[in-house]
Amino acid sequence: MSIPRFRTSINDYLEGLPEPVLIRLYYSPATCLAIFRLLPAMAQLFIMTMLFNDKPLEATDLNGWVQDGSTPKQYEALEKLRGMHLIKESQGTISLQKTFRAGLRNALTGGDHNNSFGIPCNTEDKHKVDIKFLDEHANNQWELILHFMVGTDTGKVPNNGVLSLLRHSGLMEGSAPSNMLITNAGFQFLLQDVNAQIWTLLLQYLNMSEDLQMDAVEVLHFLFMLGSLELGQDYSLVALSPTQKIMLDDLRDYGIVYQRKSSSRRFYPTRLATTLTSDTGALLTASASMDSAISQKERETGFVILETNFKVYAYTDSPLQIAVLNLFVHLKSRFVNMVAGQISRESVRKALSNGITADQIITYLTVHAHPQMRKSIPLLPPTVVDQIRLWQLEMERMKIVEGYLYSDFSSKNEYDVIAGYAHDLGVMAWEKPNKRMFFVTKEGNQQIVDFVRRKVHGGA
Amino acid sequence: MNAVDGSSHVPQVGFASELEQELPSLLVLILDTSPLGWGTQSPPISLHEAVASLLIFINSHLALNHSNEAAVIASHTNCIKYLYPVPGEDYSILAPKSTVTSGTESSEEMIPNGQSNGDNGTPNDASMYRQFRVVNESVMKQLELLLSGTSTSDIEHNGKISDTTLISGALSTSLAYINRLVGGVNDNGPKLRARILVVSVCSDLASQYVPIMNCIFAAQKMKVPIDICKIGNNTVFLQQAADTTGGVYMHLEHPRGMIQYLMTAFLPDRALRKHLVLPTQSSIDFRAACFCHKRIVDIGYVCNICLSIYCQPPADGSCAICDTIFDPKELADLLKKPVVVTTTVPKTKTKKKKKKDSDATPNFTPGP
Repeated sequence: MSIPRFRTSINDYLEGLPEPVLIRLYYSPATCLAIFRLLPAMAQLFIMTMLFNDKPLEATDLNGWVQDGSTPKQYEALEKLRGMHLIKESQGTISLQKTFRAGLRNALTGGDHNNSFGIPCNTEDKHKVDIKFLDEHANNQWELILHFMVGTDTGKVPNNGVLSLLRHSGLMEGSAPSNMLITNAGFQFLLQDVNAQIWTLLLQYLNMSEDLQMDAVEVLHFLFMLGSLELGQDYSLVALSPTQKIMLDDLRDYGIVYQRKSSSRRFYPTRLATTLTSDTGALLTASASMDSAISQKERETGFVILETNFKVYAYTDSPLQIAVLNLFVHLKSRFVNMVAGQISRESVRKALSNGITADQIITYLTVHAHPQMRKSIPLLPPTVVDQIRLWQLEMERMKIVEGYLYSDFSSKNEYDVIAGYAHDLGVMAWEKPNKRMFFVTKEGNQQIVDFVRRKVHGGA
Repeated sequence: MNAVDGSSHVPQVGFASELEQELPSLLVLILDTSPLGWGTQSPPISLHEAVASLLIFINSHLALNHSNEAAVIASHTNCIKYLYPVPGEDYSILAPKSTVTSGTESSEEMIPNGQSNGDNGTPNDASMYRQFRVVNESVMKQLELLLSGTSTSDIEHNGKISDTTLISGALSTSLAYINRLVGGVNDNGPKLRARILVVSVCSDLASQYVPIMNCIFAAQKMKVPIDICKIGNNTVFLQQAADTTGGVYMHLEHPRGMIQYLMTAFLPDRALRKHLVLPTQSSIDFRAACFCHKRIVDIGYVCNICLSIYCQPPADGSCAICDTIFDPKELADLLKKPVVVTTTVPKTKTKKKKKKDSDATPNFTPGP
């Protein structure tokens, strides 16, 4: 469930990049592969069809491949490809962007000596570490950050790099470590799962790196490369650029890579790194607490019981968990191994006004449900789920859609044709047939304009 | 009030279907490795060229989604063999350097990237994604082992060289594999969506009619589509396999352009296929093979009890499958040659002929 969120964020970032930067990105096969995986299935198919076909594709051919009812999907896929500058369109034909095409081909065939998937060390490490150690290292580093955010007193403070990143990203405010306080955005951040959290931080890191005169392309190359590395393998620093070596120091602080000491010539990616571009095997959930007394198994199974009377019982003594729960639950009593509280309109509205969404709350409760809860279907009491959503709806009486209004159609027929086309594309936001007016989203407007122009030309 | 009744924003169902879209898929590739089948192709395509295309195809499949999985099974003349994953090998840990080296060496001339061997035997480590490398190396290595271990006696059948291959064995193995990976161990529903792709070159499968049909029906029940990528002559039963299970049957007219066929027609997974117009077969050969001589028949005789198919009435007057003894009089009628009589038109049998009279079978006692 975290994946769509992370996808949108990294996708949005990539789509915001100017074309020359994107093209430089596509020089690395590892990056091409990672970007390819972020695309919707239909877009992936279009790319694959064009990948080994030297001739450009007729745009009309695409219409023949896609079922009539699925035109919106086709439209969405092409829009995405255009946004990422992956396709070139000229005179009704479509072809793949050359650099990307070469890059993806290389990734699939393993051709070319590109080293973009990381160079393993060929000498034995005298201080070899195993996967368990790496997991622990990643866990400790990451939780140090989370605990610092909720203000748990662990006696340790993250490095300056981490602190300035937290400050820069608006997750915490305050100038010195002793007086830094978590913001609303920070609380939202805590509700996400680890993968989403890492991407949030890394995207902030990207933004920050631009200010520090670091090359965003190199930073992205490095991140996507990390996502394709093998856990437990040591990699050599030889192929890394100076920028990437600086990055390595920062990533070490987040627990994404492990280096025994900063002068070491090798580094190990941790599970946080190798799952960067995937959704499987995420190391720990946001719930993972610092309490080492809780065994790995219990940690995975969840601890929250939600009853139909809106009462919440959470079997945890982790300050982190309790802080997170406190975001949307009115906690009433605390015991040695459990806290009890109640979800109320006020508590949820407080969370909503902090920018936390109903879906986030529901996802959190689902993910961390106690094993006892898993016996019932549906998992969460529907009354509570519905109520939380209704409380959110109370806040959203208005919805703002940017777009364009079409009116003054000369005939009913003309209106029907164009409105029908807008429906097919799935860009219709609002319509009023008896007044012959409709409203389309900003993204879809160009398509409609083209269509109208074609119609007018065709008719004249 | 419509907006508050919760129907529009509680997307329990929509949510589930959205999740379904995201399900990773498992591709089981069955590769026909019959030496004669590949040797007699015209226009020619060598096994090496085909394997190179298939490896790229598998890589592409793995590239679609991080959790996609693949398995490759070779259907040889007298045995089947897992090319990937090899039973007993653990791919989650790093292969020892020596294995990696031998794997790449043997595959050097076959994979298109083989020429870059500058770095002491581990040329692909840094330029190939790990998941791809593991699969490709395993397939090449196992295929090499399989082919080098094949002698002429293996491809001889009853004294003559045949291009047959154990498709039925490969199909049942892959169904078992799918069942193991997808099957109901997890109570949250299937974690994977499976499909089978058969790359077939052999033309004669009649001897395996019954096992193949059984596999087809099993696959249909498991909702596993069987895609067929056919090189060379059309094969009757494979057309039926694709048709029954809702898979794609494609006969490659230009086998050298195999990669393009694979990428366009066979790559989309089940979720995406709903939205696509896929190649369909205009005419499907629904003929069956008889149980007695394994011949493909247009018109045959069917046992009225067990529906076994015969190309001619059984000589001993009883069904070879269920031992039903047929009425000798009826049998004699069936064997009658049409007599040319000027006045009456002889009765000709057009369609599959069924003996209707069940009372005529003496040792069969009908139910209450």
